[in-house]
Amino acid sequence: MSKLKFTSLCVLACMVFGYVVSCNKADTITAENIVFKAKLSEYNIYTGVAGSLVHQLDYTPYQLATALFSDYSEKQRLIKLPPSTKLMAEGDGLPGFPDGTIIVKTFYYFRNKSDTSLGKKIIETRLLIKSEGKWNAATYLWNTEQTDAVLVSSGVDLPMNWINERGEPMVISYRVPSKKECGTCHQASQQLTPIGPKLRNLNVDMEFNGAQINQLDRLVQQGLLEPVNPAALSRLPDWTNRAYSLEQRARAYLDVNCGHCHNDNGFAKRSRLTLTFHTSLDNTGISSRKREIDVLMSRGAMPLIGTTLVHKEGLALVQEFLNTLH
Amino acid sequence: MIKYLMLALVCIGRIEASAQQPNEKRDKRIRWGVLYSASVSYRTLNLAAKETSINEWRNNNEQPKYGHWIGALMQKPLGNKTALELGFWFSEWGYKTNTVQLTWNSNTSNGMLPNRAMFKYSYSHLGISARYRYQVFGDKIKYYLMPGIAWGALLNRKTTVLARYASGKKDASVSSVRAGFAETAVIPSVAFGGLYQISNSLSVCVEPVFRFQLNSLLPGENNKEKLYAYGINLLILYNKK
Repeated sequence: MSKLKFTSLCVLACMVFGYVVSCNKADTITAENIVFKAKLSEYNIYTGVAGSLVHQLDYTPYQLATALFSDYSEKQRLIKLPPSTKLMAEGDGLPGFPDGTIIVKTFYYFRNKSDTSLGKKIIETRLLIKSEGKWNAATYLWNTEQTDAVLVSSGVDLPMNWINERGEPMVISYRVPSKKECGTCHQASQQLTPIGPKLRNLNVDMEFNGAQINQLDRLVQQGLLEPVNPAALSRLPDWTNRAYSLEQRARAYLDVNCGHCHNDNGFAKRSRLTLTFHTSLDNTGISSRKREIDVLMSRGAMPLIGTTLVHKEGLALVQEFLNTLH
Repeated sequence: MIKYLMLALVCIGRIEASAQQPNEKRDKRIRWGVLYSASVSYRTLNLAAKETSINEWRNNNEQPKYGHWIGALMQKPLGNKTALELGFWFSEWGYKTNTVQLTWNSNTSNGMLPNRAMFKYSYSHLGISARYRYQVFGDKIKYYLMPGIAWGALLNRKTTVLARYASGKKDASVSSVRAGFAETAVIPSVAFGGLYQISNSLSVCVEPVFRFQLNSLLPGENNKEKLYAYGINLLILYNKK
C-alpha cells in the first residue's frame, strides 16, 4: 500500500471516528427520570391569566442577592416543595432539596424598562424538578398570546426588542437553550444541579408587609427551610450595592456569572481558574490571569453560554477590580 | 455509515484499476492548490412531533444565506483518470431570518427606533478533507466527478443582529458561542467540475458542489438540525514543470 493510500485511509478513519463520537455522545447529564408535561399550565403554577405571572400560593417566590446576567432579561423565581418537607441547610451552599421540589424560573422583558406599565413579553419558563435524588430540566416556550407555554427540548433563537431604562432601543436574538445547553452550566460532578439558590445567595434582606426581614428567616417562618441562623452563614454581596467593597462586589459577580462552571466540579474545572466567592483570592488564579479575564469578557467570549450581549455594567465592575490587582 | 465508506473504498479501488491505461503515459506530478467556494447554505429540521410549533416558526421565518469555504489542498494522481485530494479547510455557513418588523410600546419618536431587523446565524468550522477525482470525459477541459468527505471542528456559532431604521441607518452587533452545539461536523460532498490546464504548471478547476452535514448541530437530542450548501468551488492548482 502506497504512503498516499495509507494516509488517505487514516484520514477517512479519523473522519469515521469523529462522526461516531459526535453522534453517540450520550448526554447523561440531562437524562430524565420523569416525564415532563406537555404544557406549563398542567403544573398549575399561575392563577388567573397566566401571562400576569401571579403565582399560586403553594409556589413561593424567592430572590437572589446577586443574579446571573441573561441579556438583561427579567426573571421570576419560584419554588414549590412537597407538603411537610423542608429545605435542609448544608453550609452556605445549595440546601438539600427534598424529592418532588419544583424550581421555576420565568424569563421576560418589559417592553419599556422605564415604564413597566406598558407591559411585558414572556419568553420562556425553565423547570427543575427533583425526583429520586436526580434533577430534571425542561424549558417551556410561551405562546404569542401569553396564555401558556409548551415543552421544547431543542434550542431556538427568537427576535426580541425592548427599550432599556436609559430609553435606548435594544434588539437581540434571544437564545432559548436546548437541553444540551442547559446541562453545560447546570452541572456539578456530571450531575444536573440548580446553581442559583445557594443559601449565601438567599441570605438577603427583603421587604415583607412593609418591614425588612431576612429571606432565610422568612423561609423558616413559612416552614420551607429548617431553622438556620442567617448571621452564622456567609452572605453573598449584591454586586450593585456600593456599601460592599469593590472586591466583594466583583467576586460576588464572578461567583454568580462564572463560578458555576469555574469550580473544582464544574464544566470548566480544567481551566485552573476558580471563581467561587468563598475561594481565597490567592487560590482563584484571578491575579495571574487578569488580562485574559478582561479580554474574554470584553469580547463576549465569556460567559461561554447564556448571553449574546456583553454586560457593560458587570464588565466595568470586574475591570475596575482587576485594575487594583498587581 | 462505516459499511458505506468501506463500499466506497472498494469501488474507488475498482474504478482506479479499470482507469489504468497501460499505453498512456501517466502524469504523476502532485498538484498543490487553493480552494474558494461560494455557496448558498441552509439547514434541515427534523424536530420531535411535540415541537412542531418551533418547526413551523423556523421554516416560516428563516431562509438560506451566503456561505463560503476556503482551503489549501494537494492532489495526487492515482491513475490516468483518477486522483486523490487531501486538504485543510475553513468554512462559514448557516442561515438567516427574514426581515422582522419591530413593534415598540413606547412614546419615543418612531424615527429614533429601528423598525426592522434581520438575524444571521453562522457556523465556523476548521477541518480536513479527502476527495476522490474521477475523470468522466474531456481532453482540453477535463470533466470529472469528485465525491469526498470532510471532518471539521466547530470554532463558533456567530449571531449577527442587523437593525435598520426608517432613515436607512443600520446597527450591527455580533456575538458568538461554541458550547452546547456539536463539536465536530462530518460533511460529505459531491462535485462535478472541469479542469483546464492554463500552462504546464498551472490549472484551474470550476466545480458546482453540494455539501451536507451528516451529524446534527444539536447532539444528544431527539431533534435533528443539519446544515447543507450548494455552490461553486474554484480551485487554482500548481505543479512543478
